[in-house]
Amino acid sequence: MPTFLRSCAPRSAGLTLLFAALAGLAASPGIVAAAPTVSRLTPPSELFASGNANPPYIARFLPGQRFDLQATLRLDPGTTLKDFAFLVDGLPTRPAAGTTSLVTEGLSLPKDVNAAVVSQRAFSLARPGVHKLTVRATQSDGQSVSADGNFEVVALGREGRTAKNIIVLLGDGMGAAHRTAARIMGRGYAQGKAQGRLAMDTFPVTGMVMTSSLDGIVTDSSPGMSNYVTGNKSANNTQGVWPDDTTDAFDNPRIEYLAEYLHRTQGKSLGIVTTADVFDATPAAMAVHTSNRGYGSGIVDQFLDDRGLTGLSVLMGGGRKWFLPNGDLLKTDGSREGQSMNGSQRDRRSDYVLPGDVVAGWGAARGALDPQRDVIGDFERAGFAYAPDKTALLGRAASADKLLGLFAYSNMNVAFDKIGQRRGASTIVDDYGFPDQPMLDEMAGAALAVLAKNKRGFVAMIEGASIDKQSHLMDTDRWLLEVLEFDRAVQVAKDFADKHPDTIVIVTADHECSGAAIIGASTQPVAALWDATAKPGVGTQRDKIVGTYQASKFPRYRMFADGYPQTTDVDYKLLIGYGANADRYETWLSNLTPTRDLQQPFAGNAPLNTYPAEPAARNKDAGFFVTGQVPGESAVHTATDVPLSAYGRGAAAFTGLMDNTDVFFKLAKIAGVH
Amino acid sequence: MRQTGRWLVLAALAGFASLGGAAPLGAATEATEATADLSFADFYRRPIGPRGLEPGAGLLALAGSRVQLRGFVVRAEAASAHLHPPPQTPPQTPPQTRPPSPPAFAVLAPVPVMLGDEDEGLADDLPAAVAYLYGADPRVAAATAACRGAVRVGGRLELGRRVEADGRASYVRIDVDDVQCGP
Repeated sequence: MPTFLRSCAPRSAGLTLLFAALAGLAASPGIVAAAPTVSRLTPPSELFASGNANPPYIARFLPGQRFDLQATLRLDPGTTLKDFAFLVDGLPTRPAAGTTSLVTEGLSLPKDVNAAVVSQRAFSLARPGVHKLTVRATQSDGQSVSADGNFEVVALGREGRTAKNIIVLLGDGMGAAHRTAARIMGRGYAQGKAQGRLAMDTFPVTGMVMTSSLDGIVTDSSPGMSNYVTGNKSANNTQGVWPDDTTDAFDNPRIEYLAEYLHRTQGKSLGIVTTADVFDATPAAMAVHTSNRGYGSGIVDQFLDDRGLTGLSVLMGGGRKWFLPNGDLLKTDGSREGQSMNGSQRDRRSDYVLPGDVVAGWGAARGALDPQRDVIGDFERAGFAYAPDKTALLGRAASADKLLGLFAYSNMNVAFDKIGQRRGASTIVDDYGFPDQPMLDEMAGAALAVLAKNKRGFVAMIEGASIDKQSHLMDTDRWLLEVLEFDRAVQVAKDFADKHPDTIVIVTADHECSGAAIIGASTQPVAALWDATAKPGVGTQRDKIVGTYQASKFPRYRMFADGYPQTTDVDYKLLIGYGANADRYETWLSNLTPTRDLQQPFAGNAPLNTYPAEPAARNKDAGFFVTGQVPGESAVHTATDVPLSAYGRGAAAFTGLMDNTDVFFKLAKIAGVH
Repeated sequence: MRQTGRWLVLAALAGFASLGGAAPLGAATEATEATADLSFADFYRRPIGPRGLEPGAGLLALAGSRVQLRGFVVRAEAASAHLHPPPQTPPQTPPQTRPPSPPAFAVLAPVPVMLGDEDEGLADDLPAAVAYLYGADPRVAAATAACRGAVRVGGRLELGRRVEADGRASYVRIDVDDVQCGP
């Protein structure tokens, strides 16, 4: 991380004098035309970007929600920044001591640019309405500059009966087609009518969500999640922050998360449950502030270090590699290397140390570059019970007040393979090295049991992560079972809400993935699909197999008592196409093995090294080639709106078309924020 | 997970950018000492323990022995080089329990790996089972870098933690004296 020149207490004292000086400066004509310029003003606004002062306002906040103010000032060559100040509605913001900074080193701007990034941390405003934000600054030759932006503090109004508990079920990448396909497989259709409903289908209210991020119509999972729980748009690959012009991934201007706000104001707990590595974008975008979703060491450290800000009480998923000490810890006998070769992926480059103004403003832990940290041990010392597998999870959940579950080295195995193992039909989970992994519904049940112990309520996020990951890989049968697994967790949450009526449950997605489309069904029995692999090509595998319109009829799957189909390779099976596809070979049959996941520690060993490296290598000699419409090796996210269904207290708010940031304000209002 | 982008062999970072031919190396050593086959599958026990991976018995038994290992040289997209700003303080290298070895010139992985770019933030592309390669003879680095597919290296196996120039900690290293391209 770069060394920054930052302000400290003496500089803040100087700012007090500065405000007085700027009060007179404001009246001077010609300030805006001065040589220095403002190239970025945060929070983002169209007023600053284009001069448009009208709604929709890009940045919106709850009354009292905290966020950072920041500006990038371009200075004339040879000058320095003399002073700066932020004003809201023309009045000085009066920052607390130590909460401002001026950064001139470690910038991500071209080296020949003379610039300064100025910040004021953890600002908040209780008064609803649209407010003007102004930054004013003077460079060393006396020339000054100012710029305006705006933001809104939203007037929520009072909710009738409020919800104590908030459960967000996040099917990563789960678009409408994913839901529909899982319903067809899991419940069946006859004469045009679904023979049953998914648990998420039974929610009484459904709306549609626009998912775009701050910097593109197509979001990735970081802002896709954090936009729901900050009420603001973040840029792709970033979570809980806005962009800035420094290289430090942990100093970006922050926005207070829903969990942070409700923990600070109501004492609620936070629970995070995912089938991915817990450092992955979606879980981290509930609690961690960073502009780089890949910095796993810092992300998992911040989960623990800032539990006093977020109320984190449950963290479950994969990703054990980030929690293991990477370094020589002294053993009790004084020898070293006792911790070597544990597979730790912790390193200094992906770790975090916060600048002083962030620490002072937010009350956040400073952090440390400490790859040798035993994070599991630190979680345990903080009162978390540690469950490394399903047996421990189910055994300890009832008695734990806080729970850490790390069930895999990286991402957990998918339902297709976990169920295969439980039925004795597959060794893939064993081959990955984690033979006793829980299903998502088991994790959800344990998490809610722990979280329910907080009488002040909780915010829980439960993610079906590999709906997205398998959609990227265009592994149809695997993402279909991921949706079914996710829906079983939805049922767990619904049952919880039935027993705890002061609960709001929403089920949605951060974005759609792969442009999945239900194109029809096979016109052939499954044996014909196998036969066709001997003569791959569009004539044998497309023209003779793909049934559209009424030729698709109604695919039938035999469901077992465990909630999953006996097999996905049935006669006249459901067929899925992809509108955001990469190159692939298609046989329409399930893939016996998953596509290779390099994150797994035995990825290079038999039998994992026999798994196909990518969709363009999978079924290469058995399927017909489908040319991708996007570059790269995997399908991509799309900007298609995603459905959101709601159940429980306040569910009626979630109807119609909404922006993903709107969901934040609806949830807050239901929780009693006004 | 990407095919695009310029490739940057990690070996080049250590100053061995010149790609010479794969000259036969180490014949004298092979003649005087038996070479054991080491497999990446030997690196760790299965199933994985609650506190992380544990070294396999097959690996531990070969510490200090001459081994040969087949794998693929880890490569990185050139654009990734800007991803990681330098740390605020120099890495804290723990006390060495043995004489310091030359810096590693490459990393060997069991499957082809290209370290990802900032897109999607794949900071953890490197598999757990990798071996760092070093050697006093600069020709071994050039010979290794010249291999475009699988490579088989021979040399002395060294175990134990060491902080490498790329900031990662290595646990398995091979003092390479022989390089052969191909499976």
